[in-house]
Amino acid sequence: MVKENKLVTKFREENKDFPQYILDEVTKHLPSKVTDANVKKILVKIAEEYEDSLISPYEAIGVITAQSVGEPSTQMTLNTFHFAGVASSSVQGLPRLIEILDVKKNLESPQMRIHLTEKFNNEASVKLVAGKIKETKLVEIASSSDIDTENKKVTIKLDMKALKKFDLEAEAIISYLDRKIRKDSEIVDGKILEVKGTATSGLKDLMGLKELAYNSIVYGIKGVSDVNLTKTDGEYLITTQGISLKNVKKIEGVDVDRLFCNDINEIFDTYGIEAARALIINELMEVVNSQGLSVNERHVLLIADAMCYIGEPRGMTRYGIVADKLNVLTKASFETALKHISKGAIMNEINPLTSITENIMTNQMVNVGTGIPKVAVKPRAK
Amino acid sequence: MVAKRIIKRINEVRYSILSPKDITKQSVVKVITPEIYDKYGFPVEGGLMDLRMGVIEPGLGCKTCGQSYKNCEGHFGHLEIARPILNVNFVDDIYMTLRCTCQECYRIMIGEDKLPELNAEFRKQKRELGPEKFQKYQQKFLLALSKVKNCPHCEGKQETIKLDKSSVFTFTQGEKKRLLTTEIRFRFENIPEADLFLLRINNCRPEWLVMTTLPIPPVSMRSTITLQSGQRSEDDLTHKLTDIIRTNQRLHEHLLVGVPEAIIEDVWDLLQYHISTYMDNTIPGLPPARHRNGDALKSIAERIKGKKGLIRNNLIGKRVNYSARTVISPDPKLRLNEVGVPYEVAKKLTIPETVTESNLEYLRSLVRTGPLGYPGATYLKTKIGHKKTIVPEITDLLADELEPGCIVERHMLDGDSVIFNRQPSLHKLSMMGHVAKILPIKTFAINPGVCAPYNADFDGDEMNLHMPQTLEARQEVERLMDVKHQLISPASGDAVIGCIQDSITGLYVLTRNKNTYSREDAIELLFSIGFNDLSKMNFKTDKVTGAEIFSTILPEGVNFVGESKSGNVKIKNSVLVEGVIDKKLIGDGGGVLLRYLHKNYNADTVLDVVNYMFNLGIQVLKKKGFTVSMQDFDVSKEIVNGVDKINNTVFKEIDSTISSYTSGKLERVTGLTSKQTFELSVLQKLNAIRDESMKIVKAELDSESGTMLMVDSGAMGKVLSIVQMHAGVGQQSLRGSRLTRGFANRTLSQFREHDLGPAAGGYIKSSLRKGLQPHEVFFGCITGRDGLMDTALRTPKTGYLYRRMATAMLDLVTREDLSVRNENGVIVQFRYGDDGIDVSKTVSGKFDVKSIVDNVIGGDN
Repeated sequence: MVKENKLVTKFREENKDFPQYILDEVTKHLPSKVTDANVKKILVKIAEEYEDSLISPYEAIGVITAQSVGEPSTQMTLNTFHFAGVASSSVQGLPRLIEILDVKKNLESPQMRIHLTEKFNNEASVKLVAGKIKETKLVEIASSSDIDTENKKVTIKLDMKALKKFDLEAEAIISYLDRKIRKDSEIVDGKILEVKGTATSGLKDLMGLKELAYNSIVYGIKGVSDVNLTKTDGEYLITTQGISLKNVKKIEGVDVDRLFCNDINEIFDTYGIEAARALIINELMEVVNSQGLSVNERHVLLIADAMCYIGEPRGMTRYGIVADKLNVLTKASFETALKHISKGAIMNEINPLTSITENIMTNQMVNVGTGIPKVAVKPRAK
Repeated sequence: MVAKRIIKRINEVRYSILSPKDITKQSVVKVITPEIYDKYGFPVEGGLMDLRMGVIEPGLGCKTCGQSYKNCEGHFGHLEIARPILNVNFVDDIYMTLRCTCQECYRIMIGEDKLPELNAEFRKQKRELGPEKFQKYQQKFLLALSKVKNCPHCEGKQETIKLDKSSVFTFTQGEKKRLLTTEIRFRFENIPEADLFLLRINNCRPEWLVMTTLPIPPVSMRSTITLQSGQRSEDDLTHKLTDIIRTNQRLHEHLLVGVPEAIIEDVWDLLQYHISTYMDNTIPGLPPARHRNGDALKSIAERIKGKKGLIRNNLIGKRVNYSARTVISPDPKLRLNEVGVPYEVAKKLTIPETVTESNLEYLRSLVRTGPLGYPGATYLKTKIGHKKTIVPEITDLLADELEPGCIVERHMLDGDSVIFNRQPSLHKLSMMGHVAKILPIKTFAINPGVCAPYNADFDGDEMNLHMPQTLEARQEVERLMDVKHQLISPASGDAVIGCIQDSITGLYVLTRNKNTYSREDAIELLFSIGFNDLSKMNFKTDKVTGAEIFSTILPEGVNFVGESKSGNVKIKNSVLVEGVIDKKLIGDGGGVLLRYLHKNYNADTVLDVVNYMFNLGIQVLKKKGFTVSMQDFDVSKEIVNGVDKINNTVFKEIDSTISSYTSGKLERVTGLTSKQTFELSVLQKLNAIRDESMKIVKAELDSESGTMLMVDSGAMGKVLSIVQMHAGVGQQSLRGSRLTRGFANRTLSQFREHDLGPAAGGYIKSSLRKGLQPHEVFFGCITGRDGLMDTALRTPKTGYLYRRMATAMLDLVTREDLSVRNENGVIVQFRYGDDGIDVSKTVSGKFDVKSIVDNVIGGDN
């Protein structure tokens, strides 16, 4: 680390508002031998340049941001590649962009990245933890099954070896079964699961029961369909398909501070709004960069802030940001016009004409850009 | 021009529900009969076309306001409904209110003791949560309330009320019973005023949601159309209203006579249906009302909503005058911010100009020319405000009449600011300010350098031109929208306007290899691009290098260090001392040098420099001559053999990979199935062919040939395309893998099933020059078609995404303190982008510290 020039440090202290990263860059680029006069000159120049680069007041930055992201998105691929290797397989391109901006709940490729605490960072414990995370269905611990149409029941023979592997008791299996068949099931001889049908159930119904039983999750976390282990720089990483932060957090050995998933809602629920905002920014930048497009980070920041400033992430949909607007006509001009108007009527809403949309509707000056400043004229003294 | 003072400005719009009293109060007619016209064709009094509700045909006067059809806005009437009818728009609110109030004492389902407390809590929450969150809070509260089983006031047990179909409420008391509309209205009438706030009903009685009086819209809202045959055709709304009145009449008669209740209910339901579909004919679950020919009737709701509805089509989207549209053509002689306008257009698009002492004679001459000549004028507004059309016969007369204070609408002239636009307008750069240049052409002409931001080409594209009419608008176009202010994209901070194609090649040719020109040639070259500052052409030697010529057009004091495609470029004191000019420096997209100029010089200077560069490049090529020929693609036998050899060796390798895969011996890469491992390795090997052949071909290519000059300068084309022409097209891939689908277990019928070889997987061995094998053509088509599909499906998706983003964020504005706020002043960002820096004022989005440091330090020694 280069030691900071004392003049730069002084400048930093005097101008607390000045973006710190610019000063960091100055330190980085300053040659080792430099006169105080030059440093002063540089700092003055930097301050001037910064002043020049500031955004003009009243700029309609929201529209510019929407355009800056909207225009390149016409060049994105629609297809979702699943790249070779589980670790990097995820939805990219336009579908992912829409997912993020809508704050969708059910992602096309939900993913978690799990690091482990130092104590657990060895192959044996990693495998153990991974096993606890991946969901195991009954079918994986069943050795054979039989459908008895005469007695209207399904018998499933359990694989005792597998049971042992997962540290399961045969009797405990019942409690893991699907709720619909739980009370009609019992364990016979400690290793056969019997699911009874009703007197009227035919072969088809019994097949259905077997299916239900087979798909019951007996071990691991529901929804995590696959796990994958990788090792980089001596550190193990578990990548999963399927998300359940709430349950993963409880598992011993998981480094909660570095737990990651790509579902914005999930992150918001477990880590709060700032984490959700950071996730939105990172994911958006990743989508844009992976498509080889150049969109400035400032636009992405504004999008993330517009989605999060209220305290919870909201999508850019008729249920999200737009629905929360106060201005009835703005909402009505987007989607479901009548719903907004009748709601406004029953609640006796007052719609201030502050938004662009309403002022365009009424042929009035718009409240952005050159529409904001007014000229004050001093009346001539009589 | 005397600015019109704005006297009134709408500050807010309030929404509320009309009470039956309000409806009768504003009504001018009580509509009583479904008949519209009498036998003489006159509107029936008390009918739907009653003259008191306004007139729509000339010759008649409105009986309410006395004005003619042109001025009368129309007046509402009303219809008294025999039995109450639910207003379909509020069914959800009616449902919620029914569930949240007691079925016996009609109070809200909250105990008396908790009411004041809750009311206070609500008001507090409204203040603290802010309106956005408060809405959600209310919704949650009501939902919980609707599940209360026993009334806290009278302890009455609550039946679960259900909404069946669109407007039928039922409840189960032993058996399923219907909750009649009269009963709903009765309940609502008895909800005390104090409970309404918590029920989210403000300044309105809930019983108004159940209508007893129906407002009849004025005639002007549903005007009759007279067909060519002379037959009159009524509007859909009128049709629907006659149905309503007729049914209402029947219901009325039934009630008077005392018909059994079951029959009355049938007619009542019919009336409900008619009124529901009159208001909204798209309610799910309700069969839409239809014309006799089977078309669905257009209801009031459909007039308002959707893309073609009133709001999006007429209120948000405005149609404008003073605009023109025609085909565009290129004209490199125009400046970047100019647009060539045909005379025909210039004569149609006018601008009002106020006559003053100093422009009196000039405007008089325009008036004298009249509307047909050019430059002329089309209208004249006298001092007292009479608007006169200038017709050729009276031009002299009008010219004499001219005096200061008049307003003349004159033709578009050279130098006028106009707005130029190409759809789709995805960005702000799709609408830029240009300076008009009137030319004897039939199309709009633009400098090809501005094609990039518009995404325009000249294969028949049309563009729009708008003429701003007021002084303020003209100023904004000139100072904010002009092309010269848009060189840097606000999305990425890169240059979007720059030199393209031949001008890049030209400048590359000019500045490379220490090219020299005779002094005469150099000066001629500079003159030919319109550069005539002789003091700068003070060449000291007889032989002038290309770099010197290029340096001449740079403004003073350029100190630039950057990187081009082929190495470092250094400009010191406006002299190009090192490096070659190419696309990376002056092209659109990158444009490192352009960004430097944009940052350090004013807009006009930069525009001049770009113009000079653009034309210099073209002139250089014109002087030297530039050809691309088939010869450029001739290949020697060695290359053909070399490429064949590469192909053969790799094919052999792949064969062995296939055999090891099929025999199950292939070693798996961790995390992949053996199939994936196999595909990956084959793909890698095939791609290696391309890289290897590129090496061979590149070495053989003549860097002096036209094609290679274009490729090396970055003007057009890539090495890859040349390799495809010379050596082979290469692997076609679909979704990141080889082609697999088509026939059962094979891609095309000529291959064996399960053929894993390169040819069957879509590898095109032939070169474009030699020509493709039939199966190879098909593989090419597969990927080509996939690409087309992709774009066709993507366009509407991104369009919708953009619309959503725009509506969500359109009110965000930066303020004086660099914060970003929404329409109601709520802070979204404390400082825009965390540092307050405008992207279009950065270098590729970064605040360039290094160049400042280098400049200060460098300037010292």
